[in-house]
Amino acid sequence: MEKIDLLPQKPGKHYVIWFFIYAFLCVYALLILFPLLFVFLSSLKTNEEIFTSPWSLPQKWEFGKYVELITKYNMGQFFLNSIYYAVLSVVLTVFISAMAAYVLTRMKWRLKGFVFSLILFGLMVPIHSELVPLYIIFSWLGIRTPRISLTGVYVAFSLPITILILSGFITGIPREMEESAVMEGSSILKAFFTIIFPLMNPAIVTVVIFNFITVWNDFFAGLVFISLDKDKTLQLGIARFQGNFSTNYSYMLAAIVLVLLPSVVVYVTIQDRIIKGITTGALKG
Amino acid sequence: MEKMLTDRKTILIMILPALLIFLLFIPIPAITSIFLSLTKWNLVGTIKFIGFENFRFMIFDDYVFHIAIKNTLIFVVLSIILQLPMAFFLSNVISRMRKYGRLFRNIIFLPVTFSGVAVSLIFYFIYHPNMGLLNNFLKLFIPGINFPWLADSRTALISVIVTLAWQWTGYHMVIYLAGISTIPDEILEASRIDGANEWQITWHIIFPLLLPVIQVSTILITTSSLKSFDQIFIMTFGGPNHASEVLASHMYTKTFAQLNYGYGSALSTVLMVLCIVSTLLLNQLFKFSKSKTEY
Repeated sequence: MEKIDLLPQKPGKHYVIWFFIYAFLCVYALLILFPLLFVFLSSLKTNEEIFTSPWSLPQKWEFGKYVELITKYNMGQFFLNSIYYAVLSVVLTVFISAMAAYVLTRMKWRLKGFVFSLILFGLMVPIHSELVPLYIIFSWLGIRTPRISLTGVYVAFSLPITILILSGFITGIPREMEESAVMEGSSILKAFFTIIFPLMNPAIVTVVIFNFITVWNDFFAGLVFISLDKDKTLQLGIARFQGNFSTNYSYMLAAIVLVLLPSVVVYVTIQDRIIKGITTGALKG
Repeated sequence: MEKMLTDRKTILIMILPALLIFLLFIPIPAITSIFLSLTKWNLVGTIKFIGFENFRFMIFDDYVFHIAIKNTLIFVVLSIILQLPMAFFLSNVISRMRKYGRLFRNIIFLPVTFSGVAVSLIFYFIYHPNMGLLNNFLKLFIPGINFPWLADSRTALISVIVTLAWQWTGYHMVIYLAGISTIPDEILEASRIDGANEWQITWHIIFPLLLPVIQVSTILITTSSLKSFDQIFIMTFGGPNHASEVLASHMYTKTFAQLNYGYGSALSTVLMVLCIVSTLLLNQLFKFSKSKTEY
């Protein structure tokens, strides 16, 4: 990142320009961070305080609200549901896509090109345009529990990009790796899981991060498929604070903080990996 | 080895799970959606085949659909204007920084990791007429201001578009940064030695080399604008009086609030076709401009 040395021909002029650039970046960073700080501080105030003294610090730091959200307003349950959907669909996606990616890059069969372009075509189909027919198909099939239908939706729509990224990675693994194992009598399937799959680790980290964040942050698919409170994800759980509690802002704000807190903590710990994970999809496509 | 690579059983075992799930959840519903778009149906009664009536109604009579299309176009154009030049500027500046570049990049990228719902709720609060951050800030200059940003038909849509720009500019900045980092240092060094200034380097070297990445981000911003839903649903619900309605929110209301599954399917089909066509069209457009600039 920090590699280009500006040639110091006219140092005076450069200092002025860089001063303005740094000032601009600081303002921009403030525009990102200040709303978050404002939401956090406001969430600790009472409703009245938010209204009357928006700029001051909370008079009494009311952390009790957070406990109440978890115990009384099901935020704990919503969190576990989000974990369920994200973990299950990501694990399934990775295994299924890794095998498919191997077959689509290494194995030799007639329909390979066709299947690959079919899956790539799926990249262009947005999940939004399929939710109505999927909802209808699942009510035809009589599958009412989102634990199955919604997980399937998440896996299916993660497949195309995951297969694309993993195929690209497998192409770069030398053939000799599995050849020697196969020579010694191992089957392709066994060679794949014992030799190739472990080698795919960097690409798998990327797709896990990418898909986990996509599923974790999803709202629309959950909204369509989940109707009962006990099945709701965090995103659906906090969305209702806008309507039902529209007079009680401090709870809405505390719910936002509760949802963002894990994201921010994870981001601060592994920010570079997350940035790579989220953007790899764009650069591959 | 060669023989084993053509083994049908192995191929089937490894490809079938992906292929079955893919077919069941992507092409089959797409075909179902096209079929249902030719019907009138409320999910429990009988399916009534009505030909192209849904599409006729959509094009000639459904004024909400017209607003949604217009708003979607505004969404695409304003998002591109608000996000891409800023992302290009930020990436050029940050890639030249010797210190703190990574820090600024990571701060600006932070909202990308947030969910649409969380960001929408934050901005729902920021835009709040009485206690929002925006009006509280403006009060320092205009006493007593309590403008309802999200409840006024003139500002509802643009307020949502600004929210998305706040969240996503960092994303485009990072993919440009990745693009810039693939440009060999020697090219930049050589042109500096030849006397090119930073402005010239940006426009004559970095910009042309970044075009493929700019293409990707233009396609992404277009399709994600077509699909925008979370922010509208949370912040305005398409209102006031449909002023901020978009395709996905209209589809949701028609299908799940008014239980018009046939018409909802027709809107889904239109959304899908628009996404695919705009992706292909933009790809062609960039290919065309590339072949013209290569000499």
